[in-house]
Amino acid sequence: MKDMQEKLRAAVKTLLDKHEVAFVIGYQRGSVRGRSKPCFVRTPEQADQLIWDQTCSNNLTVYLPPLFRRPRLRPGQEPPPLPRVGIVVKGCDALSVAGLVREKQVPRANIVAIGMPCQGILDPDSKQVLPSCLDCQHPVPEQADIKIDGPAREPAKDPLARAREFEAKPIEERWRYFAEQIKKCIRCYACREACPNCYCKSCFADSTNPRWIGLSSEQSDTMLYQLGRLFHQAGRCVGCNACVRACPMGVDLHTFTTKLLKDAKELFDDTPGEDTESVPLLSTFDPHDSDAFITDPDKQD
Amino acid sequence: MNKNDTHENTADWEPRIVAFLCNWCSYAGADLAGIGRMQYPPSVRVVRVPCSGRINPLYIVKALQEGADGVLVSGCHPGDCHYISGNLVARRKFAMLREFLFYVGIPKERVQFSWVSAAEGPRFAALIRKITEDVRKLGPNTKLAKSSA
Repeated sequence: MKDMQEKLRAAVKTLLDKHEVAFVIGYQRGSVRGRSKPCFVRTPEQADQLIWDQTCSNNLTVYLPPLFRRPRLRPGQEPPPLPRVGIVVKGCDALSVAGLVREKQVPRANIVAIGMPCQGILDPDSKQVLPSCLDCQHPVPEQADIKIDGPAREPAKDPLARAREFEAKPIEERWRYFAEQIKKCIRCYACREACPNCYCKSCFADSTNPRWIGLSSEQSDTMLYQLGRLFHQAGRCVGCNACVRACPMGVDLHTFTTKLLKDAKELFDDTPGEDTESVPLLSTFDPHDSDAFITDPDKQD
Repeated sequence: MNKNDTHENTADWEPRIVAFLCNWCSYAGADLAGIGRMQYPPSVRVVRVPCSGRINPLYIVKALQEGADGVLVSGCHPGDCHYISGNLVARRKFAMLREFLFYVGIPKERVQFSWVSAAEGPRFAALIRKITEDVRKLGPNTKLAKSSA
């Protein structure tokens, strides 16, 4: 681990020395034990702040879309040049980069991804690898531009296992579990802030006209928020589980995001984060998509 | 939704169904059912939308929260969309939404999707009869409904 950290610092120093990137987004030691926090490295000297260990929880690609957002231009005004930035990515974060490129939020050529093989992120309290990391299928970021080598987890055999297991339960038990999870939610929106896909300029959760989500602490309002946010990730979520790690209340979002991955795969054979060229799943269609779920009143069942 | 509509937990409870109908086919189909004086249960509240592709999944969940016992979404048959492909894009979204709501524990009969053309008045009437019966079997929607709804 220490060895990987040294390699990472060296790689970042080289990048900055050669002026290949404007800055590098990485992790530094957090102010609380067992936690890291993001840092922006602009000079080669600052590279020594960078750390790499199993506390590097955040998905740093959350910072990318705002960097490439086009400012409003006056007529005849030239758009400012886009920056080129380096970013430290785990396997899951690399999928997010691909997802953002596919959604045309980030130009791939402007990103230098520094890939770190990952052994799973530790729970800050129990110091065990988080359950959501046990289902990881991409511990090594294959799509990274600079690959740091080091030990990595074995990829999970079935990353969709959690969804399969949950689906097999009776409907009332599923509802009880969902309601239980919602009960824990304090609507701090940390899941939204941590999610690289939540780059909407305005969020339905903040909208006051129409006010989708009431101001009360009523459970149905929280459900509406969670269902709305989760389903907005349909066909887009890459399963990085940054939302799960960001949640201060331990809401099990993993169970629900896995279902989105499973449906994208099984209904439409699409894996978000796999490629950068295809059209996002729900932005397109196939004339041969299944009609099986359509109610036909003329058909006797 | 009108407070007087609330009959939960009483013997005279009638299902309340919010129907999102596209302007060009299903709404005209509903109109035709009316013009033809076809009988169907008065359980349905129609919301006219430009296209089934216009329907945000939030509308559906919000309808359930605000006291609907069932939601029906209907658009033009595939290939007949006034905007060429709005209903085809919507179809994917609805397929995933239905699965997802079922996954968290909302019965599939509560949220239904169908295609009704402007010429299919009888089909619209039959559809409303079917969904009303389905929802009646399930009983009032208590899972997502606001306590004040």
